[in-house]
Amino acid sequence: MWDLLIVNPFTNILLLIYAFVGNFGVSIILFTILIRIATHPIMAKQIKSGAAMQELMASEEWKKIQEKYKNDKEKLAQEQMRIYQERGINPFGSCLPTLIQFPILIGFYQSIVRAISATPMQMIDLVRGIYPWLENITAKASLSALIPINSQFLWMDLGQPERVIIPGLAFGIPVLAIIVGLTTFVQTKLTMTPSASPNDQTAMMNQQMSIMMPLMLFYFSLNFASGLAVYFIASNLVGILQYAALGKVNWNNLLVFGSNKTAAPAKKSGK
Amino acid sequence: MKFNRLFLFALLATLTLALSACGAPPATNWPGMSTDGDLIYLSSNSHVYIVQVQNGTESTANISGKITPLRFPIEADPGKMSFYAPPALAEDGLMVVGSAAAGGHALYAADSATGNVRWTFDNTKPWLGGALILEDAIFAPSGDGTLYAFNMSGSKLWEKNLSTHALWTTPVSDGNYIYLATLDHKMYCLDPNSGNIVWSKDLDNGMIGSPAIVDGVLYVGTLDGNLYSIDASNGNTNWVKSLEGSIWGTPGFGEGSLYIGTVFGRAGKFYALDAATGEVKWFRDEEGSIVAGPLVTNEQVVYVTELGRIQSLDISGAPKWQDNFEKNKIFTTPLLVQDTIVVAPMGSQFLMVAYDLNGAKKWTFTPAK
Repeated sequence: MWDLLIVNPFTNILLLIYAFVGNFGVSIILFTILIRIATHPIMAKQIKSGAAMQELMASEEWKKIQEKYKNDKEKLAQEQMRIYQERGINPFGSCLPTLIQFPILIGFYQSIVRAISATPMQMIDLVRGIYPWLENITAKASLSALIPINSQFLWMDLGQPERVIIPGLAFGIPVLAIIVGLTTFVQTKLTMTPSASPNDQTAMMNQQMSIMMPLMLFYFSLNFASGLAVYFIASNLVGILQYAALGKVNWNNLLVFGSNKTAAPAKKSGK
Repeated sequence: MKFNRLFLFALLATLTLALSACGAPPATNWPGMSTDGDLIYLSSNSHVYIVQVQNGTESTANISGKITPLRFPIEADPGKMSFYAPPALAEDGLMVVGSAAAGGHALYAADSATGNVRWTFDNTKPWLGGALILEDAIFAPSGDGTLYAFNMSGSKLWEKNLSTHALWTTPVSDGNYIYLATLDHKMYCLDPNSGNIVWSKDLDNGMIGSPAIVDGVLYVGTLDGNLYSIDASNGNTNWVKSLEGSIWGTPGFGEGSLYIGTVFGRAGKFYALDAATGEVKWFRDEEGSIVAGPLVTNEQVVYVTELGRIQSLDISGAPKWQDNFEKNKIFTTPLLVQDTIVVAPMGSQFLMVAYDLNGAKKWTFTPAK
């Protein structure tokens, strides 16, 4: 079922884009943009939910109940739920969209690995999963034209973890993984929501996120097929653009490091 | 907020697990088998196992005064050594096999009597195709799309880049030339002395299985289901037959007939064709796809399916015997060693199962720990 609903459609879209552009790296980038566009409403909702939650946590009413019921967790939870209902906030509103994007990421990675097919055994699923009608759209999407996929993109083999070998060095340098780490760091910093107090849990979590996420994606890029790293980089850059378009990019955050404080987003001009 | 933090950690942990489980290198492949007539050499992930055909037990070696199962390597090093290609065997006991591990892409030449490495050749890409030993030279197809030639001491004689994709098939020879099928549609004939291309032919589709060569004729199948008969001397097509499904294995030949199975969606078809004309003599439907090439003996043809069936037919297509490993897939061509048929199922507790020619089970092989 997972294959039928997620991996096969993703693989076929990737292959169709590849058939038109003839470059698998560019196909990954274009498909990433497509996914970002398709999930834009979800992301916008997530940002809105996050902002509402943030506003709530900065409110006097919220602070009062935190103080008043600090020794009665059950009552505190009841009061929090009451406030959520009164203000029409879904406390899971910022989590659910992430959950929805989660299978997309997994499915996308599986489809990259399948399309590249590092072994004959992996290729069985690829050949089986190609929609026969794909070649009706363009002859370049026939089995004969598609296989083998050229997995070379710039200096890398998209089916293998990337390393740049420098003569004289005993180890390869993971350039792509470093770029993934950097772009993830920049994206996380730029898109952090402002906190009311530098010591509150949101600020601390933001701080953890800005360190943990880049390290995490760096680790993935270091060990997994470099096609995934291309996806991460494209996704980070498009994500920054999306946030910028929504006026939610905090450019000043790039200059703030080592503090729990996050800057307020720049106001959109004309508003 | 505590929930959010927990959620974040849980999400990242799940993501790590999910990505790790869904295709991170090293990718695996089906096992490779070969024989020197007495011993069976099985490349199955961490080791090449060396097993006696009479009883299915591992050969042993005296290593530092201790009797140890003779494998290559003696101690597993899965980060650097994973084997799937059928080992190539020389008369002096040299065994050549390449690694497809994520952390090591070396071609190993080892002494099959001791497990000691005689020489290695490091490369940047995995080795999934088997090597060919012809007289005093070794021809090894690599994941970097290059066919390498070495002498028996490991000195490189020549290299020839043949593909932008990895070379997955094992080269074959008629004693004079080397023939290699590639995924990017090309069949090559090369001079073994120089590596020069004698002829090449575009078959308009990828080839996963090696060609069979019989009496100066190459038989090879493509992913779009075309089975070709090609004159090995000049690359001219004698005939081409379109079959249902895609062809993944090496065709079997016996008594003027060709035998080959196909992958037809999740199902399979098994064909017998006239080798001279390509006319289909008979075919048989299977529930499971047929990836591996068949084994052809004097009186029977044996094929295996992805659903774990081992099916023996007589040359008229009538069933002789069968066995089933319902929960296991079989992708490796069965091997005939003396009067024993050896099958290598995947995912089974047994790495190999042996039958006599009437289908009676002789032994199973599970490596000692």
